[in-house]
Amino acid sequence: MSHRHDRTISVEALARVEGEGAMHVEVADGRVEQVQLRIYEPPRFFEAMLRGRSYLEPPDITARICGICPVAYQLSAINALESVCGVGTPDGVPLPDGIRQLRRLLYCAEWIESHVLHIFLLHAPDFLGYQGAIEMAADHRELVETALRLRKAGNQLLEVVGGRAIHPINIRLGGFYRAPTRAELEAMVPELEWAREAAMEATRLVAGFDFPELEQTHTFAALRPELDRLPPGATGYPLEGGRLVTTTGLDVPIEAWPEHFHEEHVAHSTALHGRMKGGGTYLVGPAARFNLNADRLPEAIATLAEEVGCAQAVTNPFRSIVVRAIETAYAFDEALRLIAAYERPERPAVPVEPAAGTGHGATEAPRGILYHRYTLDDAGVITDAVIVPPTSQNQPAIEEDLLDFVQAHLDLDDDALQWQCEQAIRNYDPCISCSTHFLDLTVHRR
Amino acid sequence: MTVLVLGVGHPDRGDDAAGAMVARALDGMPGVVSRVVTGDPSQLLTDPLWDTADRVVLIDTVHTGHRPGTVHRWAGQRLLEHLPATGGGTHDLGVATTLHLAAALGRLPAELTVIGIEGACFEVGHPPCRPVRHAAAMVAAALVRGLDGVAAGDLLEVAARVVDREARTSSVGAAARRPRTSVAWSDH
Repeated sequence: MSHRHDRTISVEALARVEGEGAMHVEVADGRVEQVQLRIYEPPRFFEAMLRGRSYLEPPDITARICGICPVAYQLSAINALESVCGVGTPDGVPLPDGIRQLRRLLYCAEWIESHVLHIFLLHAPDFLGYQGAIEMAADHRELVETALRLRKAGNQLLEVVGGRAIHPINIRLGGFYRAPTRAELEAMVPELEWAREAAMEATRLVAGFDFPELEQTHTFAALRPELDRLPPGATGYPLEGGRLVTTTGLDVPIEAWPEHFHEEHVAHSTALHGRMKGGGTYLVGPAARFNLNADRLPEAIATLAEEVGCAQAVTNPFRSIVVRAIETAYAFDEALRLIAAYERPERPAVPVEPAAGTGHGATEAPRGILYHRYTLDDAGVITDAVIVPPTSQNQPAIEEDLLDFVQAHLDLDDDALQWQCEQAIRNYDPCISCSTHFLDLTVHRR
Repeated sequence: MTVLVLGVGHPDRGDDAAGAMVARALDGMPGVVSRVVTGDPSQLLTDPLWDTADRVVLIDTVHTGHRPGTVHRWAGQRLLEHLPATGGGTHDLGVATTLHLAAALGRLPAELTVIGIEGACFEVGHPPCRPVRHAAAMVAAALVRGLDGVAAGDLLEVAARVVDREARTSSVGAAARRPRTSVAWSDH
């Protein structure tokens, strides 16, 4: 019922998000007292599992945390471990350009696969008024067919570079097991060129959706690559590494992560909650990347962003679908640049010898910064591991946003409010399976 | 006549290999194009043969509580009623949701058969259990018998491929080759 002063809205299982969780909203005397994202998927204890294992194993083991962003886990782990072992560091073993190009290319493919699925098959139905992609497909056949073809292009790129489309197996510490030939990569160029144009057109389409009003005041955090460390052909939007920057002026190397961010337990979630030191919430993900790195987009993509109303910072989370679409077009564009500049390395990998120490690594997973830290002993045995996925970092900010959103829409009846709350949660494309290492909505109106 | 045989599942995850075993056994048979689908099933819809093959047979491992090795067969106009869409997560759409999506797009094959082989063990690195291997062989043989222009030699070739697969996957090869007399088929 609408216009009641005391309400409890409960969504017991959130749809079109990855993993299992619920949402609970308490309203008393016309004010929202509490919003909780209740993540009840069991904790997975990956960090504990890694202790005592070889430094060679985290890329393969942590990739299993998530089926849609395994490359992010592989490359965050590799960044951290190679920094300990002196590979790719200023004084260490240099990484050939070709290896660095392939890593970035693999990351482009993962963004395409993840973003396309979320934009077109999971999130667009919210804006077009359908329960899901199947109901939407009958009326928007061309859109769904385009999505399937775009996703296929991403999958093929993952297969050629990573060995297979899900859980790539070709990547390792120091590089790859096999470097693809130029001819193998160039064979994909015609389809990638089509995909770049199709993604740009799709961006214009999603930019025309109706977006509910909601402005965020969170700190945004993202990586920002150092331009002189990019491989040939690459432009500077963040993917496989960079410095840690925020909209509040932080600009530090990733080694400074523990000085500025931490995780804490909360009673209603099996996932840790990320906060800034000092207690503030923050957001990672497409909007954060865009707001901190829009100046790094190549001209054609920057023009597209301006054309679709993203000339300024994006602070309405409902417009995150537009940013994802811009990033999808960027990923295709960047893939084409990397292929054009690709130099097949003489050897697919450089040797990585174990060394004692602690290493930090982070990359921009589709959902935001994914941070890894490993401590090794002399023999390369892992004595400590820390993994901070994007959804854990975003949870407190999502709850704050939902509190504001529900407060502003209490005039809606429970069904309409639940629909919009679920849509709001999907703005963040949460991956509960990653964070437990979500959704039921309950609104309690008293 | 072209028959598209799609074996869905991971070849190295125990009983999940059933679909791949059937697809590989039928590879190269007259009129057959077989594929092993290990990734997102929605990619089936971007296969040109999905729309042009005269017949599509999709084999996957299922887990419904029946005895391992039980073969389920869904076909006909009411096929989708027996295979409810699951909605999908952010990782893939799943087979049933993909079929519902195909129907919504008006792209269900004119003749589609879905075969589910009941599995029980899905451990990474384990071979499929004996009842599942046997069921996969029976399914492959039944599909070959339904093909046009198949000679006796083709049947033997398929049988040899399944036996070879069994010999490579089982630690007790001789026992694995011991014939069983029946497989429970369940038409829906």
